Amino acid sequence: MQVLVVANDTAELRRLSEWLVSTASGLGVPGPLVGELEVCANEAVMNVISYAWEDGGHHQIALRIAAGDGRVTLEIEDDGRPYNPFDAPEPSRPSSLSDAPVGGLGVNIIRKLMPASRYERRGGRNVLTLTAAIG
Amino acid sequence: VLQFFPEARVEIDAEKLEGGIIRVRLAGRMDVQGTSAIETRFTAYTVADKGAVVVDLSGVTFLASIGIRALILAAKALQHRGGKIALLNPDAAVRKVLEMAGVDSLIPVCDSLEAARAAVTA
Repeated sequence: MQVLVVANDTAELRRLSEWLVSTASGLGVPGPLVGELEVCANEAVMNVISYAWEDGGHHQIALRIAAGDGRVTLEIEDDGRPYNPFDAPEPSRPSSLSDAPVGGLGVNIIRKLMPASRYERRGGRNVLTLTAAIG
Repeated sequence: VLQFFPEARVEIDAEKLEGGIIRVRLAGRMDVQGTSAIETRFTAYTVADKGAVVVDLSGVTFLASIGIRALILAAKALQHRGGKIALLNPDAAVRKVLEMAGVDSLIPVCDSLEAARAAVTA
């Protein structure tokens, strides 16, 4: 398992992407899946930065990646208030551009690209686990 | 009119094609940093009244929801002004994200300039 800790600052998303792409590739995750993991991790961490803390103070977000038994798993952990991104109901597909929402897109992308992902509150912390089958 | 934002690793330019169609070319990373770097310019290029805008995504290497949001907002604004927008040539990964976000049912995603031209002038 490899670990990265980032601050709750959107400027960290680039560092996160670089770490994720090199680490996941090193673990043998195929290119297209690395890309999907990168998108989902960006969306998940962006949501944590936006919603987990009301104080606007300095916090840390930990990422742990592991591969094995035909799966890759990325855990994203923070000490913010309880926040389950999957609590929001899945929106129906908008029928027209004027009805289309401009928010909530990130969670939807995670739901669609990595449907086996799950959320849990563990020891007073939020843990979002993104997971997908390799190959 | 090419604008390159090295820190954000993103670039944008726009040109007027035959028939008054505006082609806006985006390249690089449409993540939080990339999208914030080009957002103002992107809006400026896509506000034309009754505009026909083709957004060339062939050089986009990464698209996050914040970039999709910018595309949807531009499409909504254009529609209010009687205009139309089409997306051109996203790579396989970018196309998949557009599909997962349901954008392809709202904004035409085209494989050729001819198809995009037809979509925005129809």
